[in-house]
Amino acid sequence: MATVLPAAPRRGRWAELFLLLIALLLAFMAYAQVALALTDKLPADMTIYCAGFTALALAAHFVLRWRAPYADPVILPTAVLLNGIGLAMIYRLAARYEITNPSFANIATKQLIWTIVGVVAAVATVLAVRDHRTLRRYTYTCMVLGLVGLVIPLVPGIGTEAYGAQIWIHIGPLSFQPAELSKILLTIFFAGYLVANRDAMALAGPRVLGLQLPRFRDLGPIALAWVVSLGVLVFERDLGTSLLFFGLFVVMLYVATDRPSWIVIGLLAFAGGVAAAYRLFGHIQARFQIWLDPFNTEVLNRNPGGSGQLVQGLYGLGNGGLFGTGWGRGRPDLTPLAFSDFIITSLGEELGLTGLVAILLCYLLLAQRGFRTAIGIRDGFGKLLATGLAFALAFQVFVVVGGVTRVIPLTGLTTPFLAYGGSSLVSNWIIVALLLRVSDGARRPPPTTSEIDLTPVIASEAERREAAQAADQKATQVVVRP
Amino acid sequence: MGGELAVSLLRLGYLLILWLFVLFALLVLRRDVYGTTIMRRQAKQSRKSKRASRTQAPEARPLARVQAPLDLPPATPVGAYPPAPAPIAPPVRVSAQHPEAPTRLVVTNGPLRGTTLPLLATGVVMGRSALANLVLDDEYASGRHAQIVQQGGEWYLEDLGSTNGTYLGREKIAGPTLLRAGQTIRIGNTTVEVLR
Repeated sequence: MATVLPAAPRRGRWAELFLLLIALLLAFMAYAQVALALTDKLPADMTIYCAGFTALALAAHFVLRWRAPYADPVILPTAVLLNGIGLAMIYRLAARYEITNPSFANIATKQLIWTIVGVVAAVATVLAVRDHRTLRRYTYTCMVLGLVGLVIPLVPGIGTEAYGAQIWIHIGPLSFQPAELSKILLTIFFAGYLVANRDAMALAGPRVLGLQLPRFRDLGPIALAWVVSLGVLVFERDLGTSLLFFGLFVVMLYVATDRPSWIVIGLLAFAGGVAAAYRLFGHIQARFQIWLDPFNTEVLNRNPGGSGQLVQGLYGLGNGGLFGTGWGRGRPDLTPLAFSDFIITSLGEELGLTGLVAILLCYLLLAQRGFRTAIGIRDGFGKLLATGLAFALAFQVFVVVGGVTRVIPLTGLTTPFLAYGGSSLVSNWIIVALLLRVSDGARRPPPTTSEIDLTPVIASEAERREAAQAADQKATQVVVRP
Repeated sequence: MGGELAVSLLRLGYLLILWLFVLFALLVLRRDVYGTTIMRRQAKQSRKSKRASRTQAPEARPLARVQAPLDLPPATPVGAYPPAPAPIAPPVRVSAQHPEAPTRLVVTNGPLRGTTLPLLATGVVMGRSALANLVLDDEYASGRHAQIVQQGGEWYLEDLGSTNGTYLGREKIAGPTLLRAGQTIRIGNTTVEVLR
């Protein structure tokens, strides 16, 4: 009927280099075109910018050649491309803000610094994590750190409120959104927890209406996730992060157990949570109103909580049309926060639908490579980890792009790699590094006989008996393989 | 007007290169088939010819082995394997091997009936666990039921502490047992034949 053969992959490092060069070319073209449109000449620091960005990307490429030679060839160039496009757009907006809004004039420099930090963090992750399975040892450490990261902005004195959400912490001059790193830590925790407990969740429990329901005690982790994400929603007023965490947990439970009942339970619980929050909190009602009826004059002019930003973004997209106005030739700066939540509409205005679809396809490629890695990797922890990370990336894009295009209510999440924001950029680079590490494990062919030591696998009968006796006498654990 | 034209060219050229990036990335993915390839078994005739070609040209094997699965059209990983006698050999072969040493397994009875699996140098683990090389959908099999490992050019069958035991022929095995081509392994409802 069927022949099962392991197929060796291509390493793809040359393909990666080729794609990387196109990505860099696109980043530099964007930067040059912005400057040409705004000042009619190339920027003074063009050479330094090109050299620096190329050196950074090539450094990452050569570290992959050295430490993860089988890593997926598409992930790194796609991340570099998105980051480069985001940088160009932020530089373009900052140039405009120098005239209109000086408090945002330094965002391009800041984002450039965070890009360097992000790529260095990714390289460090690839170097430090030699095998993704070592992360499984830190399952519960990750849980504690992740929950602390979620809760710490509520501590008075450290946490600060901005744009109606209390999710930032300030230590000296630095501000950081710890929830972004919690995303990675809690993905590691859930992968480690579920790989150990999925059998109990999948197999035990009653069957109702064709759905295999889990036992009550196995509901513990999802109940915890529900409480935490609802806590984030209530106390930090951050709808986006709450949505991301809950979606992440439900999807990882579903992937781990293959039981659709988790999705049903998850959706019902989330619907219940949102319905309760809708009744209790004014700002969530306002969000729904903005979503359903943005062009209503009353909703439009309300301050705060009006739909002006969303409407400006939509007009920006309309102004871009099919092919866009060209880099630097639109007015995306008219939209408030055009560099963070609304960077997608800024790009849609200047690159048009054609460019925006290409950017969305890049995200699709990233997510697809993540899921493909999850299929290819042989250990359950790696599968869940890659699924969780790829899903987090894809879900963020869905929530943000869906929000600014009025598919779902607008929530505050950052567009991975494009949007302004240091914590988001760094954590997304770490996600990419982890995906690269797992994909290296997934694509690496099984070791040949010369590479592995077979001698301890089969012990002779005498050796076996001896070891068993020794174990009995000393009452210590002697592990006889297998 | 020249300026206008240049601006339009830059604008559309940028979009063109952006799309070229996406297309090149897709091309890279198209060639990037890895993991386990499952092919529909050929008629007995062509399998024999494969075996013949394998015994005739052992040197050519490793190259052909790596190429054969990759040349498949990725859109159709299952089925539609060209009838050409592409040599199918285990990915990792060991030079010093007993002439009677087995090279592959065929499931002859049970839910996986018809599946063939090459003997990997890393060993073949059989069981219900998703991490086993041969994942048995069999209620009488344990998670890690039995394994076949290589030592000194010989292959041994070894039970991994399964609940219902592993049988070689009609005998329940007690320890590592030497495997010869033509023997049958029974695990629960599954029968696996060892072939050269």
